[in-house]
Amino acid sequence: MSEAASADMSDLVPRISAAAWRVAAGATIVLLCFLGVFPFYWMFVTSIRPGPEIFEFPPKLLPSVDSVFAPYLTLFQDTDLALWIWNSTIVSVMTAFFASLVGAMTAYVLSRFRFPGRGSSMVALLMTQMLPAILLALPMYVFFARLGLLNSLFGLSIAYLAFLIPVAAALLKAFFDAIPKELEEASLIDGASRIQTIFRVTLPLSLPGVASTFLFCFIISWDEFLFARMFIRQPENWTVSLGLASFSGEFVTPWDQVMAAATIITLPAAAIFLALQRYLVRGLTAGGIKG
Amino acid sequence: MATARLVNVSKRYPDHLAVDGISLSVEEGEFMVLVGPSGCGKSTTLRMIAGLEHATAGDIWIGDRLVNRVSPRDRDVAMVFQSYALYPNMNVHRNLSYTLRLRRLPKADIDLKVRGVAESLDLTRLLDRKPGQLSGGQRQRVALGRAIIREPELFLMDEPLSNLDAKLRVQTRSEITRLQRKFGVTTIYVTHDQTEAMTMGKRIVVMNDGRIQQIDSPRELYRHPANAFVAQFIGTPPMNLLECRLDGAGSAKTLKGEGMNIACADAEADALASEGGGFLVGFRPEDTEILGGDRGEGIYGTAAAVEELGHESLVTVSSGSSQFIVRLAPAEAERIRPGERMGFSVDPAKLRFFSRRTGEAISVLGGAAHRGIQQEQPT
Repeated sequence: MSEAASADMSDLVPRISAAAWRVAAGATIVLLCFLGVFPFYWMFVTSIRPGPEIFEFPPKLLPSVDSVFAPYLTLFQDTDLALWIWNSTIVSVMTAFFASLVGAMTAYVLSRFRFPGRGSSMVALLMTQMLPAILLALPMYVFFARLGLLNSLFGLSIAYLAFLIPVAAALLKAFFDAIPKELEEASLIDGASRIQTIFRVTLPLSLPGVASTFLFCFIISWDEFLFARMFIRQPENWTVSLGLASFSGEFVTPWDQVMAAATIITLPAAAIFLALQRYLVRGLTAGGIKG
Repeated sequence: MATARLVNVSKRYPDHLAVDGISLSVEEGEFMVLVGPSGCGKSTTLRMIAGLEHATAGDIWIGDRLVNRVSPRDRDVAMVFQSYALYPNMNVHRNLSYTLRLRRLPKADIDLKVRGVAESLDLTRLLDRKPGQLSGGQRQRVALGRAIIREPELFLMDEPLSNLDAKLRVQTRSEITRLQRKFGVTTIYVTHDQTEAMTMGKRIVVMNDGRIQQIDSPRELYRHPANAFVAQFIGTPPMNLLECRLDGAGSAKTLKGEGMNIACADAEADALASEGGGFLVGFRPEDTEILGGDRGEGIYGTAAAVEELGHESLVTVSSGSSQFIVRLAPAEAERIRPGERMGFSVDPAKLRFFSRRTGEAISVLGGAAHRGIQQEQPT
């Protein structure tokens, strides 16, 4: 009897510790999710609260609102938010597209070919990231003014590309390096040209890399403020970050509107993230190469 | 089908010379194996034939075409890689049909060919699977299928079996040989495994340090190695090499070394006399017989270890500072105790001689030693 009981106990202890471990892991995940999601929740509820309630203490977790959509309608009616979103979309998509394209071409060459100056080219790419943006802002302003690129979304995109192409190249080089070169060699022997090999073998396998690079460049351009502030003066060319900053007044800041605008501004980035998320999952190259 | 010919081909990298002026020719439909230790230049040679590396010097011919400046896609060769190199984003059908799709063949023809090859390699039920869902042996068969389907002039295989387990390796070895015979395509096969080379190759090229050591049939390589490297590289266990010198005067010359006392024929003695101070004598582990006594003509030493392999036993014998291995029947070997003094006779016709200075085989008139082909003459 006692032997059976001790056998049961020895069986029970690992089961309890495994269950405790699962509960602890689950609780940690819930906590991390809460930390990630709560700021978005607070941004949203602040946007739909009546003005006085925003500064109430203790704060209410659930707002007392008549209409969820009213503040948003007001926002679109009273401000140029739609225009700012459009401007930001143009700048961000253009920047992300060209940064990914040029970055991919640069990364492919650096990853696959050996040539004099390859090492110093990679150092130069990294060096561009060592200078703080504020240090470059003034010389770039003068340079862009001489080229007549101020107050232009195209000019702003070029400024972003100057920073983002090296980052994109460095990110994508790591992805190309991870694709075994035997796959490309097999394709070349199978009768494909170098370009066919890139489009049929290399790029499909590096889609997660290209997708993350595109997303990274998109979000950086979407959120950027410093260069937008310096290069864009005319309100019709404002991007979302400039538009959002314009809510901040000398005496009053309409926090409900700021938060409503912030909520709307977050949506396109979230949408792009959702659209690309299946490519962000790594492991597409599993199985092609033994090892 | 085509011939392949390399004429004084070299490959130099910034920091080392990988292939040093090799010349060889592969006949139409021949199965030729390049074998050698890691870093001997065999894979680089294969990659130069495929066009994946440029030859620094020399000419590469496939059929009657000089292909030095021809891109890999236009050489009409197929290659099986050590890592299989299957496209992980494509299923087996698309992997097999990749080359046909590039050639823009009609869809019906592609499907027919894919099904034919899949059937011959037992891949039909796997056509919809991705490489990641296949076992090592199945991936290997897909890689072979991808090479076969394009009906190339030349098959190039770069250690295609080295990632398979021992049992599967033996099966696939005979499968590759069968397919090569069936399709009759000229094949160059690279391996570091001399058993693979001996069992598969019609002719074998032994390479070391970027140079060809010998080109010969498996049997000739084994019986008449061109130098001490080939003698020790081919054969498991390798040929025993012992230092010795010529002793005695007049017609009664003997081969003397540590524990060695073997009568030497006049013809051998004349050839070996030019080596002056000493040379290496070689014999295969199976060319020995146990002697009854512990003195007289033969090679003597102390049994150091006995390895039972089931069908045979290997006995390591120490003789002074040198060691040699003899191959015995299990019944003979089980009586031997480590530390026991033993003597062996060696069939004189199977003794081989090598220069101690250069390692080259010493040609002995009368047929005891024979110099193998070390490099084919460029034509």
